Amino acid sequence: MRLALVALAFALLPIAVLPAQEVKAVEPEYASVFYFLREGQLADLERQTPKQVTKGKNFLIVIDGEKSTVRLSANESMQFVVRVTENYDKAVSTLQLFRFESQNGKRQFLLKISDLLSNRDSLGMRVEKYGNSSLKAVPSAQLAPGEYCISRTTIPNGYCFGVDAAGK
Amino acid sequence: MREVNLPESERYSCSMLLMCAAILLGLVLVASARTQDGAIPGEPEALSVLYYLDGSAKLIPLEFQLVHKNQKLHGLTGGENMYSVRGQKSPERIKAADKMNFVVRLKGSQDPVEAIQLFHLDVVGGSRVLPIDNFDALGRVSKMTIPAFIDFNAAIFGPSSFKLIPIQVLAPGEYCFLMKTGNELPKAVPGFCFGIDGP
Repeated sequence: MRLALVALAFALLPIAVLPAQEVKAVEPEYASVFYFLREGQLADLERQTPKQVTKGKNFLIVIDGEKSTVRLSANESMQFVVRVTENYDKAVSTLQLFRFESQNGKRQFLLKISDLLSNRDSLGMRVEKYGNSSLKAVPSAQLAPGEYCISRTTIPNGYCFGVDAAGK
Repeated sequence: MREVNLPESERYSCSMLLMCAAILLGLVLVASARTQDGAIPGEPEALSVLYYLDGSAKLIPLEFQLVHKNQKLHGLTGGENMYSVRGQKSPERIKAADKMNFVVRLKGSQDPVEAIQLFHLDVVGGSRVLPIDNFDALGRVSKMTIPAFIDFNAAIFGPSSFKLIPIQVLAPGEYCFLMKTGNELPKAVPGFCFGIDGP
């Protein structure tokens, strides 16, 4: 009977190990696609490919629609996750977060060409490793109500969202 | 509860049976956990070469061409710049109803979203073209005509390869993946082309 108990313990071992493996951070399946992290789960952001219009010595980044279809509340914990292929240091410097102005049915952001490579126009973010191959970005300051897109200097897409005043 | 006293031999048989069942259960659970991780077929051997991943997980190389930037003049009024691909149709054909999965192995830690773009090409005369811009008689760009690229997701396929999945359904027509070379509009760019056939 002791043998049977040992056998039963052996049988239960994989059952005990499997849930432990599932506790790890849920990472995005796709590279360079941003998600909003809400209670440990990944929520989609609005995926957009902005148009770039040359305006003098600057670029005007334009997205159709005055407001993002994805709405966050100003009092939510703002955490964004992206899977990256590069090493941490290289990937961190590519992250960017812009606030857009809404007018005439569009969202617009004027990007200075001189600041394009230095990424100086981006709002500040604290970035840390998330899981094995992802980064978690948290805005350095609370985001005021408005329209935003998070992206990387290396990709053509922006992942957009709107922040509404708390309680709205 | 009444305790049943089994003879020694029967108790041994019971124990052995339980142990076998336990090992079997353990193996099944471990095997199922591995399957959930996803069995990965072989990665491409060549770097920066695009393949179509067919329904049987076989990698089929796409049509490779060095795609050149050409100019077509419109008499004295200017002309147009375009990338041209030889031949009206790609010899690599995919049925519109098939899954659109492509695989590429990249050097180092390159991000495929950064390194590759997918375009739809127009068939003009005997070739496939990707218009870039129109220019006037003085050579100034009068109109940008380069079409928007087709957005795709890039999932991990192997240790150094990715599966590229267009996020929209590809309509019948001619397509090419173009490898970015660093320049905005280089004179020649490696292209991996295929055609989609309707039902």
